[in-house]
Amino acid sequence: MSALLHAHLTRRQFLLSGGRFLVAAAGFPVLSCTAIPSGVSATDAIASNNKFNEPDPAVLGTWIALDAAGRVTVYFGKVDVGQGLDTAIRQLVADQLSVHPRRIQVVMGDTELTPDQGGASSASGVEMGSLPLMTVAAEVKHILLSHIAQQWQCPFSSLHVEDGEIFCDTLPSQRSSYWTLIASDALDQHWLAHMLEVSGQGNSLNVTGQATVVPQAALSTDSWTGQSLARDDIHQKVTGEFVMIDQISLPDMLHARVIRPQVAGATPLTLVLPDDMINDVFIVRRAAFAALLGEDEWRVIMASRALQQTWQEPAPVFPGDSGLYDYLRNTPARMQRVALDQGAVDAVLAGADLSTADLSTADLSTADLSAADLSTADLSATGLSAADLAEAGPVLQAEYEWPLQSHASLGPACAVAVWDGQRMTVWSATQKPHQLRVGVADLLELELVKVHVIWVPGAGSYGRNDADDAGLEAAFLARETGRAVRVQYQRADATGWDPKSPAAVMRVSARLLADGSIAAMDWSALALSAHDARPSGAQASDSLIGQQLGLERPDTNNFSAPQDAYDLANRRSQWAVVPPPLRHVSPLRTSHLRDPQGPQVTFSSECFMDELAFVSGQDSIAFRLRHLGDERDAQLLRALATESAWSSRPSPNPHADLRTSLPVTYSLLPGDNWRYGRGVAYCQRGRQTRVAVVCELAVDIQTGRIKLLRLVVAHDCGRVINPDGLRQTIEGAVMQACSRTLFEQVAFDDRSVLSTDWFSYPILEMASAPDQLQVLLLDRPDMPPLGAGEAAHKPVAAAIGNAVFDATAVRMRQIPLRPQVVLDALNRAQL
Amino acid sequence: MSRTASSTVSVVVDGLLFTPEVDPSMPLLYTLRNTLRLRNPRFGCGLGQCGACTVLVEGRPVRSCQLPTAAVDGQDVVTIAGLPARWQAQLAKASGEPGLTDTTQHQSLHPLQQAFIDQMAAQCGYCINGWLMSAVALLEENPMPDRDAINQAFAGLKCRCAMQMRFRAAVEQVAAS
Repeated sequence: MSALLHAHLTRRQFLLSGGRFLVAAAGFPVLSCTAIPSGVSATDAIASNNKFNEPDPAVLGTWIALDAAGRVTVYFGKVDVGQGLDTAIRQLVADQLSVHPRRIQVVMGDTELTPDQGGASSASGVEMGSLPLMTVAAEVKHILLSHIAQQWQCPFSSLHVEDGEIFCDTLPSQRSSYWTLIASDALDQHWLAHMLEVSGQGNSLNVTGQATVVPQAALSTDSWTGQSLARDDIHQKVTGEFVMIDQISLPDMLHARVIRPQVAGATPLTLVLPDDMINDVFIVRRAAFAALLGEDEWRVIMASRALQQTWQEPAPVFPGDSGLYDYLRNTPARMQRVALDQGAVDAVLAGADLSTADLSTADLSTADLSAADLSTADLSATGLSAADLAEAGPVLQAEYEWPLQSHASLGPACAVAVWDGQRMTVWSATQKPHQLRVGVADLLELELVKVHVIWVPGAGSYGRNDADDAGLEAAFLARETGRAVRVQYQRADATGWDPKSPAAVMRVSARLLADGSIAAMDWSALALSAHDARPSGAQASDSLIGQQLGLERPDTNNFSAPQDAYDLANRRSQWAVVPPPLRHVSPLRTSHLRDPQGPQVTFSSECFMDELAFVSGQDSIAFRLRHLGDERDAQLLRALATESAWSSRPSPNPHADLRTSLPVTYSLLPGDNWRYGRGVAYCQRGRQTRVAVVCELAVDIQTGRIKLLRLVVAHDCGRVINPDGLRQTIEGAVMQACSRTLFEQVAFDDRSVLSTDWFSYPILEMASAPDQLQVLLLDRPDMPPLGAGEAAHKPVAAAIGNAVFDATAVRMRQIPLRPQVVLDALNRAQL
Repeated sequence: MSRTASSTVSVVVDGLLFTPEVDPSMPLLYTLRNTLRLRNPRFGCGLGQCGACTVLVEGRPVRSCQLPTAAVDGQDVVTIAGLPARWQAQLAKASGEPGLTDTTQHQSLHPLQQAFIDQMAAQCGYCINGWLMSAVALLEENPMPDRDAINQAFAGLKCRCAMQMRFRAAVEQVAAS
């Protein structure tokens, strides 16, 4: 017997002997994420652990269970980080299974209950994560209807289902239902042990059965797909019934506070508690990792403040925030990648040497090509003639700077773990519970089967925040102490030490032909790696505790390049990764933050498009449209122009001092120092979702303050599943991008991060929100649904930057656009 | 930093009287969460900078992470779980009909809770105490706030999922009704 077959038999036996099927038949699973009582006993948790279960995606019953009471449970290996993903999943499953979505519960992110679908990752929850669930829903319907067709001796095609009730066109007197079938003896009790064909893994994990999934385009008009089904969780959140990670509490639990170095790279020498605390609080210290633990949370916090500490401090290693961009420019890159290289960019841009120009602050830099010898350049690959180039404009070049930004989740990470001597159970708000499980096993050198990670919703995360670190530290401390341990970071642990979004310096060069079209464009970035901490917690060496215990991490390089449909004959995009100033245990470690690198990259590429439109006197939308090589993207921009009442004209706004120069008349802003402008930006995300945004704003030229007036978003993510939910998701992505654009920057000196709370790391507040935000959804019923959680985050910074230029004729090439930065730029331009 | 002697604090939370024995200097947040096991108010910063721990004390929104427990001795504290009862009590007082507080009515939501649901004014929801409680206090004092008043009432509150437009819309929905 092959090992594989044996595993399947074991799984079958499991299904027959008190596993998921029977648990589910008796009600919803006890340890689902939404069903954990805040006082769940450790014994219960451990007892549950002993029902060892490795969810096998090849088994139908791994994914779905139905019970006689008319309930459906689906087991989803992703998690909802606040955008209502589970609601969309219920709709998609409901349509395939032909039941009302209220019957469906989605269990998410429990490594013993849900298959590994890669967790929350890359806005793939609907686009990819829903696929196996739709398949198993269709498969269940197929199996149950096949049984009925046999029982009633009627053609399969004569059967139809309404909310689980089964009807036959040719036998109108016959009635049954899924639930009746489940309750009866008629059904083979092993039917959920049915096998599926598995393909892919992680985000792309999928299954194939015998049934055919009904394509979205073929769903009936009364399908749940396309309807704004309300989210159940909002009600629970406003009434306080929604259980989140910070509420998980086990009996006999210790509260822990981790001790972070006050100086980057420092290691603890002495850690001494005051005498009057040693009865309540104790220190666990291994290598450079240290934590305080005690039964009373407040006493532990007091102890952490009273702790007498001495540290071995290394020489300062950071360039300081004011030296960050020079650090990126001057540090040798450790790897380079050409993301795109078409035509012959160098042949068109030959002779341009702007390496000494002050590109970040000057007007758009130009290079005189008259001295360049183009006669010998090989133009054959450019698609251009020597005459074209002779009439073309100069090489235009600009440089854009994006700072380090904090993940800054609203709640500092929290995690709870318990070790029973055999198995480790971790409750965590990680986006990737299956990957954290691997990381815990890695850190503690445990067999993977001995680790159980249960995802519990936490404060919103948008990539890799501090949740994985907390989960690993809770697991470590639980094993060290033999007690249940709750790790709750403080604000400075979070904002000061969470993974940062990478900083970048981006340079763009181009030449325009005499007709105002782009002859060539060259884009390049010098950046910190977005994988300085890789996006999942699967490697303990990527965590703070792993590094404090001495694990070495490898170089892992990641950045990205512009994503759009501009059809340029000569175009190159390349990025280079600069090593971080501190390799291990760094408060500046960089990772994924919402559409990782998208805002940075798109800020440079889409501001530069505007700069090209400006120098050639063209309207910003018209200029983009003439270069777009994809009709879907062109439709999007045209729809945006209509929705936003865009009037065609070049920037800057000739009537910037008149608020009536914008299409919507906003409430009067006090004083006459306001200049009004509008800007546009557009991009794709991974060639899937396309999004464009118009921003209208006013700039106070006395203070540099930007007042957002209106944002209009046009969004095409294929088939829309839940319009209201999608609008809210897009809105959050856009508004968070406004926050990053206007306010956010990690402050640090040569040895420490200084932005460790909400005063030193300000984010957008109510008074800075725009007057209006409009979202236009371009539904494409003929297409599958695509990702939506991240794309709208990308173009916002560029749209705001372009609008500031439209209002003031001053180009901002550095984020964030805090008032003083804008005012300095205005003063330099002597406006 | 010596251990402060415990003392008994008498406080009404969501209509129930509690008399916990606690370190009186311990912030109310920890008394609510760890002593009384009322875990709706959340720890967001411990610095009074975000609002995740907000409760109403005598009708005013207060950052419970900053308020010593002793300060609420003899006072009335409301968490978001107590909003339906608070609303029913206000209705009863306005109409003079105590019958409105009967248990069948007790669970209906506060209009602002309903407005938050209608406007889908939450993503992760971790911050919700601050926005909801500040909105309740605002409308109790000023039933028709303009945007400046809303901005003022919400000043300092943080929402990383960036649902500000919807919090504002929820307040305006209730104000308009």
